[in-house]
Amino acid sequence: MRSWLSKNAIFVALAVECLVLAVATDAFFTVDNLSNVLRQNAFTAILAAGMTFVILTAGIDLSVGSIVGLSGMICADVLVRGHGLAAGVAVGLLVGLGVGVVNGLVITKVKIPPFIVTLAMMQVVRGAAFKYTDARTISGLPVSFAMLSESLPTFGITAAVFVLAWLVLTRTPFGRHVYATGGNPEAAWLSGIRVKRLLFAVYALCGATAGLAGVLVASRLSAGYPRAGEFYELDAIAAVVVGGTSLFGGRGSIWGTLAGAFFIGILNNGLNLFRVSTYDQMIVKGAVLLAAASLDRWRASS
Amino acid sequence: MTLLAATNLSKSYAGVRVLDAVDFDVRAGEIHALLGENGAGKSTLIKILAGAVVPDTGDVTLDAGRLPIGDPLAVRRAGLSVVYQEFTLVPELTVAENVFLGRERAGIFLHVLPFLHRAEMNRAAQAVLDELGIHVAATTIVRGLSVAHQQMVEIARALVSDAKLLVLDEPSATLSHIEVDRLFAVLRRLRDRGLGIIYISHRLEEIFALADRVTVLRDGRTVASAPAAGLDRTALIRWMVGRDVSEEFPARHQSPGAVVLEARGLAAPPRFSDVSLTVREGEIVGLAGLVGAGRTSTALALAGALPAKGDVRVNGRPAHFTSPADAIAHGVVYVTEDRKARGLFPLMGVDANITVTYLSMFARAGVLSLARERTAAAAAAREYDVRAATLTQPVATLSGGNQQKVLLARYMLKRPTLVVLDEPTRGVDVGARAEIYGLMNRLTAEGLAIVMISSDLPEVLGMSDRVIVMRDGRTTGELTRAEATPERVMALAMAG
Repeated sequence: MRSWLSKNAIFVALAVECLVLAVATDAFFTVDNLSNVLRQNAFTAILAAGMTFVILTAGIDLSVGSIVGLSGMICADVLVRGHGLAAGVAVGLLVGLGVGVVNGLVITKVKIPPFIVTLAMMQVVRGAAFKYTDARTISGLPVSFAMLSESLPTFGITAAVFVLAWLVLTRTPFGRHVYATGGNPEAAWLSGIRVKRLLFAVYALCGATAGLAGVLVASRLSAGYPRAGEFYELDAIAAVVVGGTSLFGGRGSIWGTLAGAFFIGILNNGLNLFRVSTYDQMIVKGAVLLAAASLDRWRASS
Repeated sequence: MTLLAATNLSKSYAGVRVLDAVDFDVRAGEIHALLGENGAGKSTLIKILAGAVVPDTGDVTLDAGRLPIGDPLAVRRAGLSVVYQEFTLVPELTVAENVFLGRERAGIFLHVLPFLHRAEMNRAAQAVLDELGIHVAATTIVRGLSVAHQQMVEIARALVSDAKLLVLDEPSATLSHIEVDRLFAVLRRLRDRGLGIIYISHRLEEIFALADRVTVLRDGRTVASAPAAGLDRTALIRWMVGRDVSEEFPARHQSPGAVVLEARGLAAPPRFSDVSLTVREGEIVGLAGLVGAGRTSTALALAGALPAKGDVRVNGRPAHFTSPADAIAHGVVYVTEDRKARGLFPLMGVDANITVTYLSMFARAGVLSLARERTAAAAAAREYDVRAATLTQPVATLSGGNQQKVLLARYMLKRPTLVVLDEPTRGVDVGARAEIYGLMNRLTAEGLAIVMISSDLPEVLGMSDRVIVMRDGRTTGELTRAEATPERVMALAMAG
């Protein structure tokens, strides 16, 4: 019983949270409110999906927030130049992938810790996003683009990302190797896992999901905004940790991440509905992250 | 004079009786060996003595005073110190700093500020080291010391806290023969000073060389406790296992086939500089030598985990593996000596630990068939006699012997050409050892080539068809099974 609870804590917490809010206020369980929650938290969730892979290998990617900014900018630029929706989205994804590739290369070839590499790239990429238009916002994007961030497409894209991530993590050798590399990198190397290739792929993947999130944010803003995605990396990491993935690697689940992202999102939503101030919300968010991390340690030691 | 007396100790975990009314005593000025298969209850007994585990029933007295239960710090202060297999030293600090870790000598300097009395600690630590006959400067950084010397630092630590009783858990597992002799000299000196020593080991010849008394545990009970003099190997094994394991090393009927591996002038300075060996199908080649001779490094190089120069041919074709994955793809696998840190995945189950290397076998178009994987893992577990309640249980819960079998099962899932076994029976009990030897014989009869690195001389002599000896990074000689004697092997392994 205790181990079931330990493994599924976040789902229970999410269910309890929804139940409490549904009972406490009429405003929670409405189509309008719930679709708002979905649209607001989809970006974090998608970032967190890619981040789950990285954190499972005991790594971290601090550059995803900046990638959201840069990919959104370049995607918007492509669209404004009239190249069509598909091109814009594709370029946005590629930008994210590109940064992820750079992260992966530096981490595996130059062997600098992921924290430092992605912290540096966070700056470089954000700087590039600003430099791209000399800090000007790109507006005048086609309406069809803005429709991407409507409820249904958002739901569809988020669901697709998570189902795909789940399949890869649990049903492919690559996914299993991700868990193994995080659980014991030395043993992974000796047991025949191509660790460098795996880590490279994981950071490239995380960059790509950040690129996707960047495209969606740009769609939501209907603009290429150089500061888009600021601090998103923190929300993504929080979602992964609250969702039960261990920062030490080797343990966690993608559905936990999804639940974690929405646990935090619904918490914010609930606090909004009760008119708790933004600042109090920040404190609550931090406290929740601390509680989740403590739970992780307790789980690891028992 | 009785120093330590444990009476009626019992402990159960989830309904399983791990210790059953165990009585155990140690006299002052005595080396008392504690023997038993893995799962017999030795480590639980030691953990109770050390205060790390609270027993369900029973008492322990040390020097007529009741030993605090469940309080490791108090136990240490009371005079009972344990030197575990995994050292508790801080690699970046000096010997003296480690020796005084937690009980640093500090004080008011000129009645104003607390400063560490570094010079005094250095002197005190050096005094202990000199007394033990260890030639290490107290100011040396621990990271640079050999495993044997680090162990001495652990012992010095215990002495500095005025230990009356010292417990050593498998201390010789990572030591060469010379280092073991030095350790024994130190232990005898301590015993003559009046210390009580509990010595846990699987190596029976050590028990005979060192112990004054022997206690054997089996299935959580004390089955025998007697003076060491007058005991023989067969009796000990029978007590430990409950049955006659008459032939510790099963008979080998070797008929080696074609050469599968040929290495000439293999070098990876400074670890090793000139290694040459050949291995044939169906052969067990024992790689002997002192700790530090370069055997594991050689194995790592053969397995692609260490870059090396030289000429290596696998099945006649030149091979220069750049990664273990590369080597495995070409049929050369390496089974690590350090199961816990570099072999197993502690967070994964037994089944996942078995299938990890050849996982792609169970994937069609990139997608795993979990059912096929489970079936294969179950079959492998049966074939290698891995004893686990369920295959999904975390691999860390298995005994050392079963963990070793899991590793074997992993690398044999797709039969390789050559497997390098590094210390395959380290930390493995007698019963499981016999099973592993049997597996090795069966596999070689089916054509597998094995290179076995072992610091256990009887094992090297008992299992190898040929023995290749290394010293200081070079292969110094080769002996056939008939030619190999302990003296000849040691002569090739040691300088001068």
